[in-house]
Amino acid sequence: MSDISKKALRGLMATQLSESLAVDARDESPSLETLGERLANAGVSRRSFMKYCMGISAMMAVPTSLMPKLVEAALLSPVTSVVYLSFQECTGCLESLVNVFPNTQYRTDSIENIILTALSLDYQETLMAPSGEQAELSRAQAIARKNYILVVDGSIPDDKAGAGFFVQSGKTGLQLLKAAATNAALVVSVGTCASFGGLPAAKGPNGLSPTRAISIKAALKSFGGTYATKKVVNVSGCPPIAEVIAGTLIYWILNKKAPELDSNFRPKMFYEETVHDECYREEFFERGLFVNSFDDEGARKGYCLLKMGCKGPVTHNACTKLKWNQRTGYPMEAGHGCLGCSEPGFWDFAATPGQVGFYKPLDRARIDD
Amino acid sequence: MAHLTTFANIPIKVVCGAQPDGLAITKTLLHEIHALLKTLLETGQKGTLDLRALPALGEDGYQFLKEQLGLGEISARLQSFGRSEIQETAYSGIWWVTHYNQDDAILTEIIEVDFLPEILKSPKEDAVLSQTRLEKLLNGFTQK
Repeated sequence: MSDISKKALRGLMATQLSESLAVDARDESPSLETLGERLANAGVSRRSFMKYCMGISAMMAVPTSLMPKLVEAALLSPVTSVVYLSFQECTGCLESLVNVFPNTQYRTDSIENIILTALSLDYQETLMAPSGEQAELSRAQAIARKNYILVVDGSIPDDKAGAGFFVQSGKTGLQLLKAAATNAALVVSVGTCASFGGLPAAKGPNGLSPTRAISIKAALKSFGGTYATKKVVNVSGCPPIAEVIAGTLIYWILNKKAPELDSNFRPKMFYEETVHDECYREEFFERGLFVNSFDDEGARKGYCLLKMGCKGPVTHNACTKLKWNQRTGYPMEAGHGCLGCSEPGFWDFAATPGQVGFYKPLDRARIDD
Repeated sequence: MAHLTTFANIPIKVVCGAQPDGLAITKTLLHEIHALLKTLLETGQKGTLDLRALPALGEDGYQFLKEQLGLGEISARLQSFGRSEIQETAYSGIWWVTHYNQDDAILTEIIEVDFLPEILKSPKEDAVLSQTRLEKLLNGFTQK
């Protein structure tokens, strides 16, 4: 085969590909499918959805008496589209989200079906079936349809000293975020990296983040204009609790607004209290009974882990209320202190001045009794 | 193990000295239920009480409330995203609704004050779908 015919063949393939993409673009014209229709088509009964929402009403601080009206309104509104972007992250947050599903066996009334049906996950690199240009197209279409939730995990290197540390299909992280945030109704930063910089923003040997990683809120602020005022919800944690991620998204579906946020832009419904407040070892803290070394008598008796570096008293999260791994337990129940993973800068957090480390005991003066 | 951690799931009633605190809350709750029933009869507005939102009720208070309200004539079971038990109490118009999840742990427990609990009614949209499905079935018979 000569060079010319190869070139012609490549040209033909490119034309065919663009034609097939154009056809797909027409096929996937903006859909006005309502949530109710979508649930019915997927075999999820209205009762299942209502029951699921009633179950999470207390978690969301929504009175159960209001829930039927919210569900009724949500069923009549269009399905919420989600565009999920990943930057400097480890995919642990996504792993946590998919673990919201307690049953692996597929059933139409299972919780995974309810959540995945209630949301239209239009772009997620790890979970989506399409790849390459087809994947890019589905992201472009979702962005063009507007009013989607942009979920982001991972931090982003800045465009100065951090330039070049994150590039995907020829575009920097900041460029990708800017394009995806343009039409987003809400930005949800999932995980501590996206919320506050997390591990990539932790200090290197010279006291600076090697990649100059910044949070999603900081990145949006750097774009200025409408980006700087975009509604951002930080769902922090390393990773966040699955039910907290799902609960934040479902709150938007039901209320068409972001939940009330704390000073770190986290939903108050999940992050208002510290893990110490509801910890079952808290009574030992009150009585001054502490574990002094792992596997000592106090450890066997389940005493407070403060002296082993537990950061529970200054960590705002729902671990002790919602628990982990389908409500199996949380770190203190396994005999280990809290690392403080849902707080800004937890990798470099000084438990007492100059003392940084997960096992450095917290300064008692910082504990709000 | 999750279902064992909820006291309401343990089929054993622990008999112990009544704690006045929990019982006082239960009595207040019964007054509230009475008020909700009054509203239902006067205005038709239904009411609900979320029992999980009342942790101060305690085990004794919970049992006391269940005993006072008693069992009525109707008991219904729903199988959708785990089971649900809908029990009319001895007081007509007051329903004890317990939703379980697929692991059989209590998801929600509410007292609903209504002539018929919301979850038992067939949603109108589903009835519209049923009409279409039934028409298809009947058309199939005529063609044969």
